[in-house]
Amino acid sequence: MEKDKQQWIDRVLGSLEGSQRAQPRPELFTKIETELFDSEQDIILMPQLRMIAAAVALLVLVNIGLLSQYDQKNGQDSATVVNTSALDRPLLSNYKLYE
Amino acid sequence: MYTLFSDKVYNTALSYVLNEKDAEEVTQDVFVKIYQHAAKFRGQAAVGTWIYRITVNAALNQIKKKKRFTFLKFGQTVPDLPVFNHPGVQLEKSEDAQLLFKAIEQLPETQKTAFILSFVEELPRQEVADIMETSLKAVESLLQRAKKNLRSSLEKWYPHRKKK
Repeated sequence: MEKDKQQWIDRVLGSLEGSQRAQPRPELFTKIETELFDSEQDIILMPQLRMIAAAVALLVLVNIGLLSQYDQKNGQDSATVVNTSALDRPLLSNYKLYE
Repeated sequence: MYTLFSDKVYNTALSYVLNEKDAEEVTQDVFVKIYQHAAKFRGQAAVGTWIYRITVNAALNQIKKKKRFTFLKFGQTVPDLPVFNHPGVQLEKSEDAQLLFKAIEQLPETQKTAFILSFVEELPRQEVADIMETSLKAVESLLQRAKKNLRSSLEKWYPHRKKK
């Protein structure tokens, strides 16, 4: 029994002897070529990458500039509001101009 | 390059992933990597060794990806693999080979790699060591342990087979 078992195991372990390599389908080569072509199209070249980075940096700088200008203007406006708030008293106490 | 290595890459991948669709996916992945990284190949190893190394890594990654995907999809562990018939195995040995591949599938990664490269791809031990970036002694030790584990897996299946 034990001998049979060991013989069977040896036979299973040796079952790959004399086997041949499996081969892929012929269409696989075309598939790989297509994949390579597509991946080349997706690659962003270094000069393109630099241009994109420069454009993003410019956009960020313009935004920062505009924001700071807006802040300054807003600051001035609020200062004006503070200054004039003391003068909020109505200039005219009597609106009946044509009496 | 494809003509020279496609069979080796595909056959190795097939021994890991145990289905033709995934083996083709791994082969595709390997040749895309070869094309993209050919300039980085410094010739420190033979081209074949380098390609086998990429193949082993790609096949192991495919298995991990599939396990992760199955886990996410079903919220459970990987179901049992369907019976795998290697197309290159002699017909009279196909039943035994099915069991052997089932047992190989259960081996730890390093033992599996050493066994597949040595007994499926029939590469010399030194080349296996180069591919695995280890010593010849380590490969021999891995093969010993792999055979021991395979024997113990097969022993479990022997009574089941006898009942048939």
